[in-house]
Amino acid sequence: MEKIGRERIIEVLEEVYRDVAGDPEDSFQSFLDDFREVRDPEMPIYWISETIIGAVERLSGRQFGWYVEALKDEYNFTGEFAFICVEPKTHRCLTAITDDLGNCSVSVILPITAIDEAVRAVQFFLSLAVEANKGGEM
Amino acid sequence: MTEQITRALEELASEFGIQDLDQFFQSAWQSSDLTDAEIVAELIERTVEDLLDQHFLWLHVVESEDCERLIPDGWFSFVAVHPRNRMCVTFQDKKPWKDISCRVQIRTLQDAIDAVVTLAELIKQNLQKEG
Repeated sequence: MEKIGRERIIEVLEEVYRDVAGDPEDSFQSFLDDFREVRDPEMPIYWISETIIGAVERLSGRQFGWYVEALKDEYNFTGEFAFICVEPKTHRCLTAITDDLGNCSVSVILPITAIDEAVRAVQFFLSLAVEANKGGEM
Repeated sequence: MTEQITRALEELASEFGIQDLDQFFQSAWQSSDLTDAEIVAELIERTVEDLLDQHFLWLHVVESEDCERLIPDGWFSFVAVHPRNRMCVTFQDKKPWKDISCRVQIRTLQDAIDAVVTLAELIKQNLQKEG
């Protein structure tokens, strides 16, 4: 998979978001801006993760198994999401990580409150998809 | 197997000071305090590990009917990953969709036993497939 530039990722994020929101006039960037400023608990927060997942699958040309949870502090969504991503052919959990201290986790937590963070999240999952394609040790 | 699972559940439950296991399962899913439902999930996970004599990385979701008050409705989803080869051992190809989690209802002791059996069987099948 060739390296995909920031502009292309934003373009795809916007395309996917319009499908997710069902509104051809809406924009992902403005949705993230609204969320960051208002933190309205009634906002459809999972549109953000659906958009990220849709963009990853569209850009990689592959589908994965996902679990997503929008994290909350005591009252509101924080803008962080816990993701689990599983490669459906090998069943390998691509988000399983072991830190330097040997602690293991099946999920990764990513903040997605601005377009740059969304781009980083997509780039991160695309890098996992590349590793999955190689089929080697991660 | 039922007796073995019940014994394992009772042994683990005693670590949490739980005396009447059936009563505990029956009340946990209706309690507004999520702690009991979290303990239910942990009991299930550790009993599965006990049964299979293996450890896994777990993620569980305590489902709730009321998203504002978060009172559990007795449904749980479990995701287990093998710690060495990172395989998702709760993966299911339930045509037409694929699922990375195993969803079970636990409202009684019998439900808990069934949940352990379901999870252990699924994990065992996946481990066998992966050699």
